[in-house]
Amino acid sequence: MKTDRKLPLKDAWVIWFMLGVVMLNYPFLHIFNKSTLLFGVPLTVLYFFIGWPTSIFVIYLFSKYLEHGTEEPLPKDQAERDDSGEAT
Amino acid sequence: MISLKLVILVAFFYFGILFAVAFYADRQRRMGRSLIDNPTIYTLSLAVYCTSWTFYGSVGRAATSGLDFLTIYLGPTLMAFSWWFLLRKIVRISKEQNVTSIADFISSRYGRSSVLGAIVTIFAVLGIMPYIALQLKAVAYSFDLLVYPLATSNTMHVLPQLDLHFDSALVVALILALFAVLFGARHLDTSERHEGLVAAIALESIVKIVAFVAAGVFVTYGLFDGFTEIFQDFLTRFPEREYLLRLGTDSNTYAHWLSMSFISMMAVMFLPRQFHIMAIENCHEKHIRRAMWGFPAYLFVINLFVIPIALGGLLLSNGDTQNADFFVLTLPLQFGQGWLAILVFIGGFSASAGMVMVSSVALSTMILNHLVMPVILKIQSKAKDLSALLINLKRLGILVVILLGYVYYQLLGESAALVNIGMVSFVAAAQFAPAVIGGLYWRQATQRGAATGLILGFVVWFYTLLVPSFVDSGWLDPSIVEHGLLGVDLLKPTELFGLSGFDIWTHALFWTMFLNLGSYFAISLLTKPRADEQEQIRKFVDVYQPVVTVPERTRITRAPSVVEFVDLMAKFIGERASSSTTTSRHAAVIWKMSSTCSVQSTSAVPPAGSSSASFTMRRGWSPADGICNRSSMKS
Repeated sequence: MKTDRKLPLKDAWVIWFMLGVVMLNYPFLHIFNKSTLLFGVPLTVLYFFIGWPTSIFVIYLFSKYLEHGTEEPLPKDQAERDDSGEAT
Repeated sequence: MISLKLVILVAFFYFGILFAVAFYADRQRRMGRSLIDNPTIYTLSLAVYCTSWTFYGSVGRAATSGLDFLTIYLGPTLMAFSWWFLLRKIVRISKEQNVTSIADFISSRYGRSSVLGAIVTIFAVLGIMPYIALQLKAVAYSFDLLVYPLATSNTMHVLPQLDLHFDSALVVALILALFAVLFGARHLDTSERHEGLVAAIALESIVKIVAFVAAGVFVTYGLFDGFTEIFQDFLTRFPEREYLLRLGTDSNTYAHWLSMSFISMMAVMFLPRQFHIMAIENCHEKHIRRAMWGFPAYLFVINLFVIPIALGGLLLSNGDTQNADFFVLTLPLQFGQGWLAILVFIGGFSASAGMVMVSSVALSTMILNHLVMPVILKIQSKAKDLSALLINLKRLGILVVILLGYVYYQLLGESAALVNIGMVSFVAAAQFAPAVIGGLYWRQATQRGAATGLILGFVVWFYTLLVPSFVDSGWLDPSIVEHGLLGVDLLKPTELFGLSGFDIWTHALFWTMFLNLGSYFAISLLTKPRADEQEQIRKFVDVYQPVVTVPERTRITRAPSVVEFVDLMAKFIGERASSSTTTSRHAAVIWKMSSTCSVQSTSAVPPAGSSSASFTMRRGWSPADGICNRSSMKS
């Protein structure tokens, strides 16, 4: 089952990365680039300061997901240390 | 104005704490424990990315140019999302190849080319000079503002209480050099891993974010009634400056936004200090998982109050932007919050010190390994104690790197805004991107392609960014910018080959990347990887491919074999030169070194036919910081 989960993860990651690039550039930014105040804050500023933590949260979810299995095995000796919790 | 004695007292108290933490971390390591083997510490140490550029410069940029300061943090946030694939591969290779710096990484990938290592080292030192200058300027100015807030450009660097004229930037440079030596090059046996340095950097990251957020809360909720009031007051009072909160304006075009984002994405990966902390000081690959979201979260929090401080500063200074770079310090001072001002000063100092320390240590390691070691091997040093010579050279390297930054500040830095100085270095760091990323994924990439790309990229970087700086500071005749080199219009540094209508950063990024990438691809396709490159291509591109290994865990106390030494020497003088060295007059020098070393085998013995082995210098000699790290990681 582990192998079934590998590919979608990598694909989803790449898609999210590309989406981030699109959402942070023209013309997408132009949608929010207006002299409108929402809750007393300029729309452009609000867009960044809501979109930014949202994307960080998505990555947090990805990283939690990763803890259940890595795609490539760690080097054998490091994997052993990780398992035993031994410090370097 | 804050009492000079108080500032010095607090500063020395803080230095003491930093040193105690570093000392404790080093001591723990000697006892076999690691303080920094922790994903949170790793994440905090990555925040060395936030320098005085972030601490002071972002506010200045937000107050004068607008939202484009955000690209410096949004770019790395995007990049951090790719770390599980990109950074993890770099870390894996760095551990397996015992890489010690970004110069070592690039030279290792392309057949352990000593020429490439030297090229990257020279360009890295030149490229980082402006960045170090920026830090010196920020600390010197903030000190002046703190103890003598009425100083003008004529009365800067004066201590009125002592009636003493001094150059605070030089004093700062010397203090930071001392710090870098103490934390990064105290002795060779501990410099194999800079656990003390990393621990100090992590602490500094906490201090700088606490200081900046404290100042932000004070301005936003102490001087104003929250975010909403600041925005509304600002738009009512300065409606003509609404462009500061918009994109696609004359000063903030979408092209400018895109290029700044791209430059920052590359800089966060390939600035020598970031590479050092991310790849060389990484304890476990699994730590990257937390850093992927922890580092962007840190960037988000430290930027939360940049706009309120910038707009608040403009409101309280009647729109005057002259001191905008230092609003974060002058606002608490102006409203009688002395302790907050001292905290901000300490936070700003932390931001600068962290950057200067890690950069100088990383660059000094590169200088020692890629410029000095080849010379020492060639001249057959007669020094009785080679280890003392090497550690002193490393310390000298640190001092030279920082003083070069000081020279840049003196010559060019006085007039420029903080962010503009830093961007010059960011574009320089971006030049390493094609050679590194291409080397990770493209088998056809050759040493000659990488070398040509790097050289062209840096020549154009110098011409399009440094030459205009020289003109601005009066060093060069303005005619070169106005009419082009030798009067040729197509050679104008800011409108090269007729490309006009772009800001200086977009223009420089386009031409450097065009020529760097173009020649990298073209020459790589026209040449074939040499035999000594072939083996390295496999180790880099196919690093995740399982290799049959025979575990070897015992520490070898015998003298190293000739093959093992050839492999080590290849790091410094190249594969071919090192092979001939063992039978040449240099053999004596190498064996002299061997008397001060012991060799530790790696856990993974390479397959037959490979000459890969890694070494741990236990006593006396360890020019390649991180070698021990990597070996001990495996053993």
